[in-house]
Amino acid sequence: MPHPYQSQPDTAFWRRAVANPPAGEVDPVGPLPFALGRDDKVMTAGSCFAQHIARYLRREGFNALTTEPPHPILHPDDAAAWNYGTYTARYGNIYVPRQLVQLIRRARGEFQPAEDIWPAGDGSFIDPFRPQIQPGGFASRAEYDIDRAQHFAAVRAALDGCDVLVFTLGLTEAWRARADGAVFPLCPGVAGGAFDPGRHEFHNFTLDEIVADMDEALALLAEGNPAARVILTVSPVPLMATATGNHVLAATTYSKAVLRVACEVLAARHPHVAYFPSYEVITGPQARGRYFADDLRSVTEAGVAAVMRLFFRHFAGHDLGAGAAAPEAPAPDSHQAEMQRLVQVACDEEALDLPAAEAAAPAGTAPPRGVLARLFGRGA
Amino acid sequence: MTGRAGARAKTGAGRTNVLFLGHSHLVGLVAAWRRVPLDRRPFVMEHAYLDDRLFQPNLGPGGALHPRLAHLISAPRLRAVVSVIGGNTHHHFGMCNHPEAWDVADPVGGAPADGTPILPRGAVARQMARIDAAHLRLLAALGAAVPVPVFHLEPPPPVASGAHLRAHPGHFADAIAAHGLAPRDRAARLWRLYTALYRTACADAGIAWLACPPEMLDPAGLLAAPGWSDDPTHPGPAYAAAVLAQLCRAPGLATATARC
Repeated sequence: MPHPYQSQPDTAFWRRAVANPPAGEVDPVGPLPFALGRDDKVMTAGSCFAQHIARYLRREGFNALTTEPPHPILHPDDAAAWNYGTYTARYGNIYVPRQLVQLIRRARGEFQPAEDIWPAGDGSFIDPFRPQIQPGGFASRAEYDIDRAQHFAAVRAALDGCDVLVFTLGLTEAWRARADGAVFPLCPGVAGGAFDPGRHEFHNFTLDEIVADMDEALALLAEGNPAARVILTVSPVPLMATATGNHVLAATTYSKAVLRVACEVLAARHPHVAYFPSYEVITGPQARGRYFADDLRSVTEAGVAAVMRLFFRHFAGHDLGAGAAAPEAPAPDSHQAEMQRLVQVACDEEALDLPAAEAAAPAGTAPPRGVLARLFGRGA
Repeated sequence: MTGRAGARAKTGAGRTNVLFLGHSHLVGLVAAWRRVPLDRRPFVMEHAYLDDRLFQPNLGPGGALHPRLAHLISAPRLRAVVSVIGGNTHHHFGMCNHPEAWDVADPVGGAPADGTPILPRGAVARQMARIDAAHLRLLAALGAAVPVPVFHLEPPPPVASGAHLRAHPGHFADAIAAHGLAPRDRAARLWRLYTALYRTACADAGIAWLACPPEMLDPAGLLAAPGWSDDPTHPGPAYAAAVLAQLCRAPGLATATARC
């Protein structure tokens, strides 16, 4: 009597699919419910690993949706420093699904956290829900309010306009406000704000909560965009630190296990949701740890490439680096260049009225650095 | 004055000259000085236009001042050095509207009232600093090298009147026709962002900051009518005269006979 394993493909067997093949040829991707077209508008969000997805989408000529783009006058380095283009909009890292629900509700005006601004002590302000989005903080309350309104408009545009949302679940541990449950991406006091045990509490989201929050996020997404498809991944990056009292390795295993199970539940429950196994590609024993940097936490570029190679192969039938031209670097702003030229012409013309300067003999000293070093670092 | 500026406040007998270093805003000051009667000049004005080929490059490898500049600033006859370095980069951003409208929010001047999207203030400041990087390095170099008090004159603000600018657009006529003149409140916000950059650089370098003469400003802090000229980016002789009068009263430069 034949048994069920006799009819299974090679991918069902550890020895054939994981132990024997060369590490770079292990492909844990299963059947996917939909494909990704080159013109599909892809919204990216989630924990820090999700940043790589947008980067590769652009590099391979796919449509990484950007609803909060940098203005042409900004230097590319400054645009990056101010977190333009890291994700679809400038929401920063979103580690737990409750944050995603919160972002959607806040963007739609359905939830206003009681603790929604942190004075930084030097007159500037920090967004508790995007504490590292603005180097130096927001210079005034007006700047904070206007920027946030612009940001929320970009979030709504992304949710309503995307064809695919790629969301990377990162953590189960979070800090939230006792008053209304608002979840902070970082514990207050770490990057702004001040920790107050009377106002802030630790919470380790359970499997049921993670699934319920993702269900809610999917429903909220569908309200404005019923055709949007969703790709879920689990970040392979271990916890930086745990507040559970457990060893961080055990806490990490718990978090990632919960998130992985949640993704399985959600993909089985929703036909428009796919799970992509980037977590397995990086952390599986076949990788032998080679995709982690020396800190055993950061994923190397080789690891990112391994993930994205499978991503593009299975979702789009695309070979990484083949065919598509890399997007060109943004051209310098022509309007700005013209204004600069006109000002220089005016200054040069003004200077024609000056008599010639006097000549002089040698001497000199080397300058210190001041405001440039502060703005650009020691190399300035 | 405090710090390095204060330490350089001493002036000795025989220090009769003040060296003015800078770019196009130097011109109006020199012209205004020449209109001051000889018997009313408290010092001898020397000047050096920093874009002149004699001083190129202003800073050499390692950031050392051009030898001619170094020689000028170390002359025993100098009582002070006045910097008119830079001063017009804010016009790159604040003279005409950009095809993709943008503005900044200002802690003093507020936010755009017309709903124009804002950019992060700090990011725009960094772009201004990139454009003026050489000027800012030079300012720092002067602060370190000059043995006598150094003053930096706050760049003059934008003209308050859009009508005046449209009537006297200079080289910006086509740009203004094509893109429109930027609202004056936006021009003011960008000017304040720009001058803050230089104020910080001066504080870091121990250079005394001389703000614009208040009588030349309108209530919004823009250049009032007495300071206008037919040049959209450079003020007129009345402004230069007011700056010189203010300079002559500055601690470290003023003398019992100063009345320019």
